[in-house]
Amino acid sequence: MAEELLKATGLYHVFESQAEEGNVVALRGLSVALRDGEAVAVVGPSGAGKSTLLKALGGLLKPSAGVVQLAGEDITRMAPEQLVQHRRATVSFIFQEGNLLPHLSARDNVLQPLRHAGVPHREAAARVAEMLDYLGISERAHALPEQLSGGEAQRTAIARALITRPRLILADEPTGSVDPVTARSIMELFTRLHKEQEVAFLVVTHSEMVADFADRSLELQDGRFIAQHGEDVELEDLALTRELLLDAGGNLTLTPDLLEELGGPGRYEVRDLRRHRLTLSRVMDERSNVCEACNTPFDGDETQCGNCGALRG
Amino acid sequence: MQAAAREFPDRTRLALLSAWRGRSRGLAVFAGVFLASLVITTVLVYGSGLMQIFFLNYLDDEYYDFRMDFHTDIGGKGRTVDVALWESYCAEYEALPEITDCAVAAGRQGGHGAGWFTEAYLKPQPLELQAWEGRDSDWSNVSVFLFEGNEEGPPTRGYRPLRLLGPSAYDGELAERHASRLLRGEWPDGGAAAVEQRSVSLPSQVASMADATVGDQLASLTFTYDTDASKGCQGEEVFWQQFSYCRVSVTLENLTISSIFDDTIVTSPITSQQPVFIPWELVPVENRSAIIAGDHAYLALTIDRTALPTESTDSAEKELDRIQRSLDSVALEGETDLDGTHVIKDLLSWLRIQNYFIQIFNYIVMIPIIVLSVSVLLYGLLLSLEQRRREIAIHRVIGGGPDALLRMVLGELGVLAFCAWLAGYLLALLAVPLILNAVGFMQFRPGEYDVSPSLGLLATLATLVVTVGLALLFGRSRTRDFLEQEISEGVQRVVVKPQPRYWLHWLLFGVGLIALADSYIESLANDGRLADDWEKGIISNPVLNGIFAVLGPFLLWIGGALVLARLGAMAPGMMQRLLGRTAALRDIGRGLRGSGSAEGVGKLALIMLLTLSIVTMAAVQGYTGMAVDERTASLAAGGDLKVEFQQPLDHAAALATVSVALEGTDVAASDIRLVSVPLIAMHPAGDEYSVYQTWVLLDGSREVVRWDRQAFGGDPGKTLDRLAAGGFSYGEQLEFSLGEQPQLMLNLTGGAPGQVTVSNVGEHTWHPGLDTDITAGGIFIGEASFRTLVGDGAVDAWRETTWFVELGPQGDAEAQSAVTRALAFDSSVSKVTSWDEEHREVERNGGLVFGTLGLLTLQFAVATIAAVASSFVFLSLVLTQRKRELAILQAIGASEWQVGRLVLFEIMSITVVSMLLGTLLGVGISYAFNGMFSLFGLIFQSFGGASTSVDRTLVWPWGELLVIGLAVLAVVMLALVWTTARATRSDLARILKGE
Repeated sequence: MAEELLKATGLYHVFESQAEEGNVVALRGLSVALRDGEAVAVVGPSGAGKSTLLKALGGLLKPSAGVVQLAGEDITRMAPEQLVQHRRATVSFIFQEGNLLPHLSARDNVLQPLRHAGVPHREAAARVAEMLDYLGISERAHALPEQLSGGEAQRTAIARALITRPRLILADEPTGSVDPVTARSIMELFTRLHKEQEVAFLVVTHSEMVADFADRSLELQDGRFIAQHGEDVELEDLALTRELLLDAGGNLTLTPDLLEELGGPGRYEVRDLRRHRLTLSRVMDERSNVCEACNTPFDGDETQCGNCGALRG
Repeated sequence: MQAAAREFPDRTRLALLSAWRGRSRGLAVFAGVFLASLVITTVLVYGSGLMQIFFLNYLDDEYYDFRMDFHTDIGGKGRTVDVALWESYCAEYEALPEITDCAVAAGRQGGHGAGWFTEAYLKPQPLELQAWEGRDSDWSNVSVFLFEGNEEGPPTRGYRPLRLLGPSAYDGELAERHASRLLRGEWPDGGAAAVEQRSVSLPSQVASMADATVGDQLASLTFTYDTDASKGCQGEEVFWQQFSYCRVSVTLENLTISSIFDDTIVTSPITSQQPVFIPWELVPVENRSAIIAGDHAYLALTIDRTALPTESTDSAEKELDRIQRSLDSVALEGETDLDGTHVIKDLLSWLRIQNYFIQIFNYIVMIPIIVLSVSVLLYGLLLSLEQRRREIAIHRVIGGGPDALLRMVLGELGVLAFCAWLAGYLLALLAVPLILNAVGFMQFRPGEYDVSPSLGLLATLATLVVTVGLALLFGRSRTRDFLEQEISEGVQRVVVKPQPRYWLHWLLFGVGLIALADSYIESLANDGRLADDWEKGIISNPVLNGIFAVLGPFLLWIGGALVLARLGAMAPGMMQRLLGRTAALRDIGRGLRGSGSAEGVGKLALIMLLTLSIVTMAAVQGYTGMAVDERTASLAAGGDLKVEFQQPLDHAAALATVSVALEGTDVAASDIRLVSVPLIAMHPAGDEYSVYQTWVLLDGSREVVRWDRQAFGGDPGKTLDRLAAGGFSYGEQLEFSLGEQPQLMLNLTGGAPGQVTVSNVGEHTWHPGLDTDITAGGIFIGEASFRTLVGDGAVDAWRETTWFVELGPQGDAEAQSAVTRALAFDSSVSKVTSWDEEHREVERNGGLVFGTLGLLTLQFAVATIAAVASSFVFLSLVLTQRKRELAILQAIGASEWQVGRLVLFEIMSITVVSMLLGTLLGVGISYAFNGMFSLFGLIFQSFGGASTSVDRTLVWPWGELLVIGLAVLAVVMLALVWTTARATRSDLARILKGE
């Protein structure tokens, strides 16, 4: 089992606002952990709090409450200068727009983090040349950001993120502003980095393609994780004290593990309904042994049809 | 440390690169530092240049540079009475490389280190002339007593001084210096020739009084010297002040006038009266010995003045001190101990005091422009750093620590500010000689001295520290703000922008308005448009009035700009309300409604107000200053010329004399007109004891005399009409006795039969060309009343000594000067004052305040440039800030033309309204500053010895202001077209994406 690189527990973040709606709660006590070399995607609708989470995890933003441990150290309690040092050594960011420095050439943009880190110029220049070469943008090294295409700009941004040899890359919609072809090549690059250099990724995205690249994806809604997808889901990551959301349409959604624990889908009767309290109980009648959709017989306690995937009624 | 050194080239390259690539946003910073550096350096360099000019000017008036006196007072050690030994000492000093000439001389006794204004300073006495007798002309009326002797400078006994010059004063450097001042005749060629000719050199005033010319002989000349009375006084004992002297007289006979020199030099109070020069060797040896013993003798030394450092008076003084030390170290035969004094030492201390006052005033005058340049700098920084907010955020994300980022921003700022400082500094060095040549507002004439003013290392560093330091200091606090904001972004503390202190703005404005009202009311009262009761304005306490006069204008200016800028920034909204329903704005009205909120727009309005008000003020005060100079010249000269004759002459005789002097000029005798101001004594009918000195303003005086509004407080033509129609005006001192009397019945004094009734036309302040103090105690009447009194015959044959001359259409400066020269040598004329020379004198030596017009010209030029440059810079910054907004408008369907029109209307309305308000504010501060200018004018006039303060009635150069206004508008238009085109043509998608 790889070492735990990033661990956040009980993150809350409130944006104060003087608007009529009052303060906005962007993160509602969520917890997440990331191992060394792991790629995790955070998906969810706009306004779910994805970017806020990313900033909080990367130390760009101090959460209102909760702890973020990056490479074993609590970054929420660090002094600014110390935080910069720690971040510089562990993490890099990639944004939707390249966010390149407009007055510096591609090469100088990539060189800048090393300048900040105090790497001697000679060594830095060599590393930059190597990095540009690795990302295939050596020819565009002296172009200014405004002269770069979207893909080139994003590659430059990636080069800038990688140049400090970070253990973790936090990416916010890295393919959000490029065309699908470029997006694919960027994701291929991510995959290569992930595999070859064992860089850990935490990618915030809307894109299925990006989510596919990740080892697992976390679904964020209204400042909470509501689901986790992936091959390698750690159940213990999911706290037993989770909240469920009964939405305005009256729908209650259970995550797969809860559903499984409950014994699968079925009919439930309301046993007890009081203000702020609901108790459900399964109607223990004869369950159909055949899929209602395709007539394939269920095998034992199966909750889903093995043939067509329909849920057992 | 080593690492820092290693990284230096890369970091410098990056700072330069960023500064260059981000030049458009850095332009405002550059402009601000540049202006601040230009102005501050100029004022400093100007001060040193002015000092040099004064220095060189006064230096020219001195014949020699050092005098060597006995170290001890009479009776002390280390002295000699041996004439031959004394005369041999010059050779010792001439052996020094610095000394170019040395001559034995005798004149005023040695001071032995007595300080200026100390008691001991009064003690040394000059060689004094007691009597002279002419052979070729009548010298009996030529007084050896100088009446003006006690009026200027330290008290002297008031007799014309004499100076004895040794043989080497008649060759070499000393001879050259004397020869250069001669008007007529030749400086004797060598000491032997001087003795042989029995040469005497006279000041032109003496020659003119005696009607003597070169070659004439003096039968005798008697002078006195004070001698060592320790062994009993051989002459007459004299007491003067608290000192006693033993005075011996010597008479020389058969002297020949060999030359006449110009004695009309500009004298500071410390330059002594112009002496008569006679060879030392004409005096018998025993007298010479007594003169040496009496401390009158000294050695006159010259140095190579061109080798004297002129970059500052301090360095000149240092060099002189050095030479003085080497002179003092010369060992002399007979153990005689001589002390060197450089003769300009006292001059320098006098100059310093004078220059000190001038500098204070100049700094005050330049305060607005310094405030302006600093505000351009600060607002420029604010806007340009605002644009870097995102960039700083990116740096933070990629690992830039707060300190490193601060260093980076300041590095860039430092590079930019340094370049701007250097540019401003160099331009100032180039501009100062031009400003020193200013003889009027926007008028220049090369002066006689070629000065190359420069700034010492310390002062240079000071300008660097002040300008670049200010930029870095402000940049640092602002960048810190950004860094802190970003760090605390997490908590998203809602940044509450401090509300501007509007109450303070209004308070400043209000106090300024009171000062303005005070100054305005005073000017109205002075101009006769308001009752005299208002002459002191609304603040009558002199101390309070002074404080208001000095501070009021600044408060009005800053407070007014802050208050009115809000009005300027609201202009687009007002425009929209006015024109919103017209075709021009109907489709873009909604876009206009929200504007005016951007920080940059408010700043643009403020800068426009600040600059335009200074432009207005500088132009108004500049032209007013020129008018004041002219008025001052008129006050002194009266007409084109003021000719004072030795004897009273009638019109025909005066005209004849002046006509003769016209020879060689283009002026025809038929063109000239002369008028005098007959002075008679009158008393009111029935009251023989109240005698009024009465001046008659003849009808011709209207054309000949240069009248102006201040003479009668209002239109002089009207008052002259009423005087001619049987009126009288009274001087200030008669206000209580005559002010309320509507009519006055006057009789000639001494029982003469004439009687006339005149009606009151009000108070007069002065008559050009007459002494204001005297006319303040008398009355003026017209020619008709005069004729009634004394009859036509007496009027037509009236004789006066002072005549005012108008030279007609050809009477330009050159003609005036030629006629003045010709008249000066006429024996019947005692003094000629030409308006043009008087004017030049006033222009050059400051008139009211030295060199202010040059500085106002600078202020005008700098403010104009600032108006143009800042409109350009701020526009492009404002539009860059709004690029996104404009792109959105385009994205939702606005055409380029509509967006262009929107920007045009918005910016133009702000600019036009701010410019109009700025001009209005300028009118206000012109009035307000007038109080301060008058105050300082008074100080400088009293410094210069003038008794009348010349009113500063404002002159309004609307034409020039209109041109400036149009020029600024044209530049704004150009900048708008350029920046709008850039904004609307750039890649919409990219802007909207936020790249």
